Amino acid sequence: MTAYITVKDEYKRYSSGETTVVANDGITFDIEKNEFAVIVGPSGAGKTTVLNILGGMDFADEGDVIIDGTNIVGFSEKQLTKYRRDDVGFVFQNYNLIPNLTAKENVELAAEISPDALDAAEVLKSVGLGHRMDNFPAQLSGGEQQRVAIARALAKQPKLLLCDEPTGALDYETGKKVLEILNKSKEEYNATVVVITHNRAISPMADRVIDINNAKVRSMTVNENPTPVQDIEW
Amino acid sequence: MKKTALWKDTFREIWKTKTRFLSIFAIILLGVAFFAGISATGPVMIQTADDYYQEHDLMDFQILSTYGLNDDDKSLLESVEGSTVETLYSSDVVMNQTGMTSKIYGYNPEDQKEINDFTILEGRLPEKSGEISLDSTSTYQNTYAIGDVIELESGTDDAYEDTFKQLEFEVVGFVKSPLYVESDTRGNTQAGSGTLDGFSVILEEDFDVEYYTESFIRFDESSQYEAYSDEYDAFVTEKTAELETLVENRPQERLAEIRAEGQEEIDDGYEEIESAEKELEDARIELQDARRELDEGWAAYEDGLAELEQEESNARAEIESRRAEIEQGEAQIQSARTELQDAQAEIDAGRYRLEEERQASEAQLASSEQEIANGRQQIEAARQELDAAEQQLQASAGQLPEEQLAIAQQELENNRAQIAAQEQELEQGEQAIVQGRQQLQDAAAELDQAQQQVTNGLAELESQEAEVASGTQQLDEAEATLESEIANGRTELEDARVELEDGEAEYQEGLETFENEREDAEIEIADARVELEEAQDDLDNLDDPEYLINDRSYFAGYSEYGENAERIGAIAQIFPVFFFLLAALISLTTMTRMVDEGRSQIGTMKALGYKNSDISLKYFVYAFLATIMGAVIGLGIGYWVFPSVIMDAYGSLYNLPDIGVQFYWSYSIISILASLCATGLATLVSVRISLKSNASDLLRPKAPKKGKRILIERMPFLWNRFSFTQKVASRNLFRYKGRMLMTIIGVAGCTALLLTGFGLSDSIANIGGIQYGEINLYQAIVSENSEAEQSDLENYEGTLNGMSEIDENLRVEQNTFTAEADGNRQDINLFVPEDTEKLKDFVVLKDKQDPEKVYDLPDEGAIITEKLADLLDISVGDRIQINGNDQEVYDVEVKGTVEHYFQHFVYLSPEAFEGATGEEPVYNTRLLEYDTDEVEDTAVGQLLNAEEAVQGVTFVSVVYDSMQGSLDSLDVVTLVIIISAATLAFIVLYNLTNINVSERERELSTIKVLGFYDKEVTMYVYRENLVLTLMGIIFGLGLGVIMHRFVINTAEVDMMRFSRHINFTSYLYSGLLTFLFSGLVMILMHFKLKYIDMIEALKAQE
Repeated sequence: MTAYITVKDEYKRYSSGETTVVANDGITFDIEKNEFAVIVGPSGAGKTTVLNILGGMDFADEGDVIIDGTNIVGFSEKQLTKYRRDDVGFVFQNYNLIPNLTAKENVELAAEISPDALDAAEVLKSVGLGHRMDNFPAQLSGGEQQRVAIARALAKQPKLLLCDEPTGALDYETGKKVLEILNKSKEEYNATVVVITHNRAISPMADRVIDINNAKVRSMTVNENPTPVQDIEW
Repeated sequence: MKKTALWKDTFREIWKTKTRFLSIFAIILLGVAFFAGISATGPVMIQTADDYYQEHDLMDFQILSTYGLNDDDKSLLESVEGSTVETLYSSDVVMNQTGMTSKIYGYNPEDQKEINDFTILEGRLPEKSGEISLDSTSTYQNTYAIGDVIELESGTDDAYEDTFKQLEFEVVGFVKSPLYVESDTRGNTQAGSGTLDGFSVILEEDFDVEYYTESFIRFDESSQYEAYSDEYDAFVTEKTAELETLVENRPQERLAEIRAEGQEEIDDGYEEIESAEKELEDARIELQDARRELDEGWAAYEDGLAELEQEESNARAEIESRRAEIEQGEAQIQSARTELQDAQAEIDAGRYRLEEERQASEAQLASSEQEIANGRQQIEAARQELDAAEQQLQASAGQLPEEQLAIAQQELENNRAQIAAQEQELEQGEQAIVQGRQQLQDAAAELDQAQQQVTNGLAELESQEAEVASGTQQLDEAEATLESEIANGRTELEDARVELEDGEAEYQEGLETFENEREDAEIEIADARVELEEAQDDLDNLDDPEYLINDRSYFAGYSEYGENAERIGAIAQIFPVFFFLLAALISLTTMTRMVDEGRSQIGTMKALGYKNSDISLKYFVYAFLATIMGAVIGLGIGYWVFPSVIMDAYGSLYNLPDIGVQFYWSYSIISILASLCATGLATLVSVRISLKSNASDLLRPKAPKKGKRILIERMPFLWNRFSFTQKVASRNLFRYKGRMLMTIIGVAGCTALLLTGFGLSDSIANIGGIQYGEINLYQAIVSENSEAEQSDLENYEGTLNGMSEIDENLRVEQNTFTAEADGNRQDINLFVPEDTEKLKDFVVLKDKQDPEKVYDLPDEGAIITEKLADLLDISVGDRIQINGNDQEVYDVEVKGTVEHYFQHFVYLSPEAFEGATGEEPVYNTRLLEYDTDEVEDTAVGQLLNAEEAVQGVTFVSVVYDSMQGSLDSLDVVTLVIIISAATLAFIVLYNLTNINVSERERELSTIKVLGFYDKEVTMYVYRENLVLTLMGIIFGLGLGVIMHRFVINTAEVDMMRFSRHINFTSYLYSGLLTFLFSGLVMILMHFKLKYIDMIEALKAQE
């Protein structure tokens, strides 16, 4: 059985003028369905590029990126958009909520366009924000905002929940809370979660840890017994 | 400079934000170009015209007199100081082959043409007799070519032979005159179809008329004033007064001259008639004499003939009688001869018998003689006895008794008596013997005599026969003579007869000729007499000639052009201001955004210790650079494009030269200052807010605008019905209130401009159609000569009734008067229809407010046109004062105001007219209604212009065309406005959307990442824009109506009313066009959004 997500010999090069920067240099890894995977590496290692490619926000120059049996490399812009729309949920470091929409509306915004979306209120409740549904992002704390962002991502029942430094802008406690929600979501929402972080401390809670450095996958470790979030410290 | 870095930064900023820089640059460019261009158009139009007028010495005044001008007039005018005068001949004619009309001017190539100088477009001016140069109207140019021969045909009763020395002219060129600045419209004429097709020029010497037709005068001083300027108008007013004084006495003088001349002519006429009559009489007398002579001749001839015949018959009778005589003579001779022969025979027998007798007688005689002698003896014896017895007795005588004596005596006596008786018997016997002897002798003698007689008779017969012969001969001769004489006589008579008959024929001929000629002559004389009487009448009733002093404005083209320039000037007053406002608005939004984006930089610089002025300098330099560049290029484009584009439109209408690019300091300075003010103020406002904050605040990113509940959310019944996207859009709308307002104002402004543009076009395009299609329903206006002869009027009436193609006609009194109220004064047309019932088929008096309501003319009071009511500032129930041409003043109450667009009218029913004036209306005009599909105007014109009672025919189609033609050119202005507004709309929308997108880049990237398709992303932004655009359009349509009203009020001239009505399609087009631009901007934005780098945008701000 092939993996749910297979990235194979994936290259991404950025050229600016005469110099070419290789961001992904033959990246290869697998992630199984329903796993909580962490891609870890220092800044500039190329992990965000991997996330962008995985999320259909950027094109790979070479190689295969097979998601649930579909190779998204070579997808057109439109196919990628559809892929993002139907199969991917994003959570960003700085939440990227629409300031003019309430928490619920932000979730709805994603739900509106998804074929089998969940009820926004339910999802918000499940991330513990049942009481803040009608608040605008500006009225929410960072953690709450991030939870709204997660809810927004989860509402459309994505095959893939991609999180780029989801705790980066949060304090320790809140960060942990967010991680817990993310972890929980793989069960509750049957999602495959990929978290990108420079924070190695998060690694123990993951089912799979992919270590990227200098544009290459240095190691890929499958963690048979992940540490519960509560036990992680940084 | 010390702060090089600052400057570098500024220029890099410009380079980096090209679009923004360009948007300020563009909006300023557009605003300035529009303002300067449109503002300059009016002055440029005027200057172009003025240059042309100056160059071609356009006259200042035209002087005409109703009786023509003579040399006295000419020299009088020439005496005016500081002026140039040209007096010339002209005449309106019809050209034979084409029926086109022309006003022919005389021209003298020897003289320098110092007024209304012709411009030669092709060929040349006439140089010798028989050459003609034509006006450059397209009608002529399309019909005639150089080398064509034009023949003139008299359109009126006056034969052209009286006016021109020849009637055939060869075309030698095409020219134009500053008098006629319009391309094709030349006004009306009395000739032909009634529409003047153009002018033409021939040599003065080809004219054969006594009086000059018109005189042009140009003052040297006039070149100091620009045409159409107030200074020029003032100058004209002054000079008009001077000229009026100059010719003040001329009418009387001319009338006297004309009376004298006319009287002389009439007298001559009468003399001529008299001499003609005398001639006629002479001829009659001559004929009479001839008759008499002829009659005498005939009588003489008859006499001669009778005489001849008489003579002949006499002669013949005589001859006959002579001949009878001769024949008788001959017969006589014959019988005489027979007689003579008988006589001869008798004589011969006589002679024989006589001889026998004589012998017998001789014996007897001898015995007798014996016896006698015996007897004598016895007697003697007896005697003696007796003597003896006697003596006895005697002796016895006394003795015997008496008785015996007496017896014896007796017996003796008896015896004596017996002897005596015996003696006697003897003597008798003797005598008987003598006698016997004698008898014998006698018989012999007798016989001899008879013989002699026969001989004589014979001789005589001989001579008689000779005589008869000669008589016969003579008769024969006489007869011959007679025959020849009679023949001669007859010949002579025949000749005489022939001569007489010739004479007779000649006479008859003469008589006939005379009769014929006499009839003609008598008719002619009678006519001449009537004519002379009329002439005398006319002469006696002759009015003073009128001297007309027309300034340039009399020429429709001249004043129309001025009005057009004025209209554009009026438009220049409103539109550019609007453009400026929008430009300022755009600058404000743009600069605000720029300052917002430069927030952290401002903070940094503040932190570095730069002064506020240094920091803000960058923004001012940025704004001013864009502004000045935009303004300068805008000025260039404006001055270059607008006047020439607009003039181009008028170019087809006017004969004027192309315009040059003019630079106006005033507009340039105004526009540069105004645009600098606009952007400067916008920059100041934007920068101030940021500069007020302290450095640390500025260095922190500006918190995104907080989401807020909006008003409609408090209305759940409404809010809940919204779809999610609608809710999002609604909330977004109200989030950026400033930008919302900007967008609405910008869009509204554009829509308003568009609607004003379209509306202006409607207002203009509509009026001709409404005026001459819905209000005035007639096709032609016939000016009648109300003083025409009865017979002419009847003829005219007959012609009119005979024209089956004319559906209806209406008699009207129409006069140009003035109306006054509250010191306001306007020229009006007083209109009194003969038949108020029929009026509605000719003029529809629609109430100005309620078009459903149509007025009937009231028996009292007037209906007036709305523009007049506006200008006089009166309404229904007020009274107006109407001033007639002869200082008469009427006062009428206004009973209604009606829709009307061209000129002012005061409608009165005949009753109301009588009520107001106390006089009956004098109908001087007739309105005709006919189907122009069935009959050509020109056909109607030709028929009616031939009538003496008709002064002229004006066709509505011609009026309509010329009015519409001029107004249609305003369409180009409208088009310019529409295009400019469209460009503006585009720039505004693009700019605002651009700012909107760049402000919300992160948000848009987010939804992109969320998997919104490109279309959905665009719609996410554009849903708001559509709503704003829609709101802007609705607001703009309202604003447009107001602006349109304002522009119309400004651009309208006194004599004309533009329709206030804007067609539904114009609203539609304005809205749709705005949507279209919005859509265009959307497409542009769509691509921009498509290429938004979401990864970059979503990168965490470090």
